[in-house]
Amino acid sequence: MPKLRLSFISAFNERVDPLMRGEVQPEGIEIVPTYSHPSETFWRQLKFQEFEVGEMSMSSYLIARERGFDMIALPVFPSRRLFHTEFSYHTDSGIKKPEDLVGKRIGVGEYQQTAALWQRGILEHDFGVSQFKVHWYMERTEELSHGGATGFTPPPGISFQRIPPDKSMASMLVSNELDAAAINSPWKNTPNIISRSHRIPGTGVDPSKVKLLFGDRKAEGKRFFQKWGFLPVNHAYTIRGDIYKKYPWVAFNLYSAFVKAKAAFNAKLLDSIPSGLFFGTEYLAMTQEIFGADPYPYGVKANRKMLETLIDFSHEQGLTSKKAKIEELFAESTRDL
Amino acid sequence: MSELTLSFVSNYNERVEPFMNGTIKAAGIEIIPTYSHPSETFWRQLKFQEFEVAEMSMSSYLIARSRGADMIALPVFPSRRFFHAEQSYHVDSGIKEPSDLNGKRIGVGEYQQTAALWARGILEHDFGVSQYKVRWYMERTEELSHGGATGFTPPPGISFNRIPPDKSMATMLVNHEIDVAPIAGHLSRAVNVIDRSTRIRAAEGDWSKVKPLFPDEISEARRFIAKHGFVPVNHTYIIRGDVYREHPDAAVKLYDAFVRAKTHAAETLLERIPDALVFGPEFLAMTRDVLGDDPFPYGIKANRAMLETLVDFSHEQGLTPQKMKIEELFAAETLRL
Repeated sequence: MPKLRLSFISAFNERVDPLMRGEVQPEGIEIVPTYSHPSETFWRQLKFQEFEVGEMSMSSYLIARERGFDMIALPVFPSRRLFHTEFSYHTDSGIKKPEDLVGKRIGVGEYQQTAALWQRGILEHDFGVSQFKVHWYMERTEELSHGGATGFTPPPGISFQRIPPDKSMASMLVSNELDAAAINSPWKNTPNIISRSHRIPGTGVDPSKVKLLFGDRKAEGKRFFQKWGFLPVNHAYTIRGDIYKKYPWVAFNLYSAFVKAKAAFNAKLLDSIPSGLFFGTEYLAMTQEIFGADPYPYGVKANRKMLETLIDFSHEQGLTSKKAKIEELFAESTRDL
Repeated sequence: MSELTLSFVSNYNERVEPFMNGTIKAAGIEIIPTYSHPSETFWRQLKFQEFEVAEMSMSSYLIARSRGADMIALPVFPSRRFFHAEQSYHVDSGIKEPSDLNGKRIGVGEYQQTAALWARGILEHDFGVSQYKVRWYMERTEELSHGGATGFTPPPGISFNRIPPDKSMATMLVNHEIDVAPIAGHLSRAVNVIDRSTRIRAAEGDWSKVKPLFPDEISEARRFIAKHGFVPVNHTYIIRGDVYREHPDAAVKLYDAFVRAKTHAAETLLERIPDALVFGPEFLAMTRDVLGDDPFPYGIKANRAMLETLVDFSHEQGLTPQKMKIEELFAAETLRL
């Protein structure tokens, strides 16, 4: 039976992998998968629109759509983290707690990236750290950044600097040229051509002077979830406009496949925990006690509060000039899911 | 130069996987890997000696060697758990704590299996539950059991019964035809032809009446480590006697590959934790806090206390007529490791 072949780009994500590997197959579609680091994916997608279906930064998506980019998102959110707990600080900075970040120099991979959007929003709304009262240092160069592809300029009133090309967030933090930086992300060991902190880690300085801003990430995760009711999302998936217009049925078919892929992974989650952790069952129970049985809900309905917060933050941070309407962001047939 | 080619059977084990999938190679040896569930592996290996290198049950190995089986072990122990803490009980049994097991009906997959050996030994030595004062119900049939392959008869003085072929530990526990059984692992694991609890799961039973005997496995692990100083081992790897005599240098070459495979697994452990656990680094730190940096030491020196306990338990449980000498159990070339 003939199927529509669609190029598909994504990082490895355990909830998407059954779809990329072919264990779950969308109705009527054959996927040609490309595994790619998000830093490279978004830059390629925003600048060259190479792939017909692709992972996409939520923040860059809001910006790109406002500027007329022709793509449409699916309400699938398999990538979530507590981004604001990924900050580390230098012990000579005088920082003792998150509130102390006011007036400090903060490293950021890319100013407009969704992780940074959540970090600024949560620091401001939960810890009183105004984004206008700190100094931002961005690592990615203009040529290789997602902002370069969407026409980024620093929002008015923001103290914005670039990290010199021979340095990185990591190297500047360990030498206390920065006071804080979100260097504790799970991507730190995965080299890619866009981000420098993995290649320039900083040497000849004392790494014991760099500490986690949230010493107890589980406690902070619990506080955050109780207050906000969701785990922050950084990525969705988009369909290129020309494909969506020609084959509108692709959106729902793909959404259903994403849902099946997530279920396939969840069924194997317990068995996929490395036995070297020993207490996988107990740890999974601890995580579910904090975030419930499904911390990765799909669909617009289950994510309305998260999406509204994201849109509000994007607007109040000056990244988008008006608040996007949730309904306009997602493919028509998926809006009521 | 022609390499030595050896057939190799093992379950998936993350500390062996880099060797099985070819990431790590043994010097001058090419392995032909077969992935197989231990229940099937040991039965095939004990009964038919099909493979040249094989994962092997420690308890069955002691028994088989005491009866003259021709194989030699390597001191590699990548499979360890707190087996005694995997018991569940029926709430109508009157059991409140482990010492209440005296006089009760206890299910066991296979009487001579290493997990059961550890469970009996620890319940007896740490919780005062005499193996002679409980009634044992074994699930595996004689034809398909490892005991069938090594000539098992119930030790004198033991109350030994077989679970009828149309029932399983799971169905008998949930229906309270037995009081206790180690079923937690069976219900999450893949189906195999030897163990019926993986197939006859009694999904319709009232599982709310079945509770873990050690509700806090992490605390129990902490207590166990403080007292015994090791995590119990159930499996090792053996070389078939004829192969070992012809290629005695294969022992050290294989051992060396097992060590490098384990190191590779330890280095990639953090990134293999599913991100659905959200707090992977924190959970890994918790595990290391309880079990130290290497809960899977290889070599005889680092495992002497564990091996002596295993040999003692095997003998006092009537599985081996005399205590096996550790030096005779492992390839001579590995005795100083």
